[in-house]
Amino acid sequence: MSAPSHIERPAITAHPLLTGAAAIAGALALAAGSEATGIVASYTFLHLSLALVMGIAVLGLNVVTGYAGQISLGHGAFFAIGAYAMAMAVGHAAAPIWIALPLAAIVCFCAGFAFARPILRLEGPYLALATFALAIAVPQALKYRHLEPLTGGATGLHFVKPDAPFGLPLSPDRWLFVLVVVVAVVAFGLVRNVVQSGFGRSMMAIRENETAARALGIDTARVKGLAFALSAAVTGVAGALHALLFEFVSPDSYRFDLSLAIFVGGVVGGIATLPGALVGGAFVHLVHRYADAVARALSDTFDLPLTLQPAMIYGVVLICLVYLAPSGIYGAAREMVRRWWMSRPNAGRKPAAPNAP
Amino acid sequence: MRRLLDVEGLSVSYAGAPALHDISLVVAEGYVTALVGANGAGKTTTLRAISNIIRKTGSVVFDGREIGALAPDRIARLGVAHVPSDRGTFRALTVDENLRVPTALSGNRAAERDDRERVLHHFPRLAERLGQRAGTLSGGEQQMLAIARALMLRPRLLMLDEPSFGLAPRVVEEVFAILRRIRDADRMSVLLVEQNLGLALAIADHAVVLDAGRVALAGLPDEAGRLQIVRRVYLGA
Amino acid sequence: MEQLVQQLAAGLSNGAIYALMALALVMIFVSTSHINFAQGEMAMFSTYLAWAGMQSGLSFWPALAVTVAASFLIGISVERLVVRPLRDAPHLSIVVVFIALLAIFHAFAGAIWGFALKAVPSPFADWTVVSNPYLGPHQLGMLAVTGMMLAAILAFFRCTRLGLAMRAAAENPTSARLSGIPVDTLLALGWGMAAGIGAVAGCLVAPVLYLEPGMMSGVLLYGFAAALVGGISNPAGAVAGGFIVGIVENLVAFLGARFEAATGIYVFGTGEKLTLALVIIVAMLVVKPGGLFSGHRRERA
Repeated sequence: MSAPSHIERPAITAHPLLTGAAAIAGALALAAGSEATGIVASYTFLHLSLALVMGIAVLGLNVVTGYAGQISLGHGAFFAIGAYAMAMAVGHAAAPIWIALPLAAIVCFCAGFAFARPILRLEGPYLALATFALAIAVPQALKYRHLEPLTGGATGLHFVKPDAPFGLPLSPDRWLFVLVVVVAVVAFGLVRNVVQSGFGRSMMAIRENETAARALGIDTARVKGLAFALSAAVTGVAGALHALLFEFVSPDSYRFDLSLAIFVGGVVGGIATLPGALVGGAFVHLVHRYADAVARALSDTFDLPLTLQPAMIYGVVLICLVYLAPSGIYGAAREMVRRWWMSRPNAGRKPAAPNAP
Repeated sequence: MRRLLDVEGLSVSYAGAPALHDISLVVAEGYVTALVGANGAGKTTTLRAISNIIRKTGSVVFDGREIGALAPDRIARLGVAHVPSDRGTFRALTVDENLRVPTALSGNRAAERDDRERVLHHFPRLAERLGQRAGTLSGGEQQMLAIARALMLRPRLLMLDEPSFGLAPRVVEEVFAILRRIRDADRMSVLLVEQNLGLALAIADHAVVLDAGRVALAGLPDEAGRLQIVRRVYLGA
Repeated sequence: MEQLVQQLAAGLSNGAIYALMALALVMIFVSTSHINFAQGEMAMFSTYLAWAGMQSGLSFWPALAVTVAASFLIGISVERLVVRPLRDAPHLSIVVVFIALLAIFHAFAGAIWGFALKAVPSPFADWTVVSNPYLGPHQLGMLAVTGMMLAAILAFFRCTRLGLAMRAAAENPTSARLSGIPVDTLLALGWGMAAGIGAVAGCLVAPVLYLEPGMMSGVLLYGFAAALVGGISNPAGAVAGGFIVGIVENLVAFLGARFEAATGIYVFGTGEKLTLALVIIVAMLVVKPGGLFSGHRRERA
């Protein structure tokens, strides 16, 4: 138990800045390389981007649900608000992306804060209902008659995504992929720093025991409000990127299923872990994309009495995951790697292993 | 002397930290066994392990039958009544309803009425408050209710966890007077966990001292044994 | 005035359905502290069973009886097979499992019976005993059934020994176990009863909404809100909450329409009914976090 921690940590922990820079450089190289050679189809980049966008959305949820311990079944609402902010800024005001993206973040930050202040007095099922209600209400509110000139009502808004900046010779999907990677690096870096700061420790203190946190002098209402606002901003940016990828927003793209998907991604990936958010985002996107094909393939292969539906595969996979990886896919993977690392033949020969015979 | 409860090699860990090591103890039929020791010695844990509401290893034989693997409610129905230290009051239910919980799914209404009659005979204070919500009772009354509820199981072994805890001295006296009466009336076998050593040794026929999760001493609370027990509990020597 | 009464009456009859869903949610919440998000889809699935029974020649009430019994078994199986093994799992994981169950029931109903709307006949079609201009026979019937269900459930908890055991198990499971109550069995029973109540709700709502796999998704949210408004562990409160939610929802649409008629300005109408009702309900909860009928702040941590 008292073994030095470096023995138990298999991964080489690179400096986070280096990791981020490497990710961006890699993305740029991959995009440029495939633009030249056509190794990776433009279409594949769209899917990579979508998975990463879901990862950012899940990361946002993770701030408030994972680290601050406040359940939210309504993050799809902020995804939608971010998406509309992007669509309106680019579509109506012809704003450049570097203005529209921060704008979406600010709008969602404010929306999240305004929503959170009264709501976060609620706990447990009450909070679940209030956030779920938000997920249902926002798509409806977007159809509101007097907002139609801005939102396009039920039909939504089309806009044209801008071309690659600096005259880069990249296809739209490829350069947007690079953009998504850059935003993801910034978002993960930001959340990582917040979580490791004093503010992050306050969030986690509230998650563990709110009464005790208050007794320690933490302004729980403020911390929860800001956590929710930050969480909404990150998820909102994901929504803005999503809008950009599709050049289109409509209320029905952001129904409550989206909120549930973000929540599921957070839990299945690994709640309160940063890599878990990426895994969860990828999971949500993969299920969305492949459940249909899997269901059809299974139905064709086996002579089943009824046609398999994608939602059956989804549901069964979810239940299995909760059984097999109670702390999420990332947590389970980390545990497997740790076991493997500890069981290497030369693991016992390390100098400090006090309880070895 | 017949062994009603025979515990052997009982061990419990909480989140990897051992709380009980290899405890063995015996409760003789018709006698009161006191389980004493300092705070955190493992007394409450022992009772919880016997009732199987926490994970444990080791064997628990009750009336010649291994009950270590049975569910807590089975153990209770076999006649091991456990009065937990928090008293387990069903606060939203009335006193009368609290008393009827143990017989709710077993026995008929007539037998239930007879049992309640018999039990309430010991607790006149409860008899006056049958329609009252249990949450509104005083601490002493809740303790009495907990003991009365346990008796409704028609137990062969009564396990009491710190019946004096949090009660005023006068109330403690009242509770223990009732316990003595129950013991004398029914020759009930009792396993009593008690922080108050004087009280415990006054009523016990046999005492077991726990220290840091181990049995430190087992003996009779007579003149000679008493001194040893007191020294062991207070001085750890 | 005439219209207002009409809207209130409509609110009552919608409220009856929300009340039944809320009752089902309360059944599970009191014993497990979980909100079963799949409750609505389970009710929808049960309604399909009843519809299948009617297709094979049964009339409404026998089909409902068979369905309630089958739903009871489905509820018990779900608890045994899916929920019980996860008893010690983190709360968020259990919410995910409920979402999974929701998807599974939805998908199975669609795969077995298709996604097309199906008409379910009202069992109260010839109920002309109490004729009035506000409530149709089916609405009256729903109100009567809801009242009967509530009375039956309250009587069950108050007057039966099994009900007493369930109340004890819900309040303090450990103490109930130590008192010889097989709490695990009662949990499964609670799931079975909740599924049975949901089946009744589904079969009553189907003649109004038409039967399709998405039938209950809106109803569940209202039922959820109703249960919370009434105080999540209180059956009578849940029913009252159901009626409150139903009336609020209809009043919103009514007031919007009146305002537009009077001033010519459209502020809100049927399209915003759901949103505004939710805003009002959430506002109520923020003001009174333990539900409208709680005298004190709730104790749950």
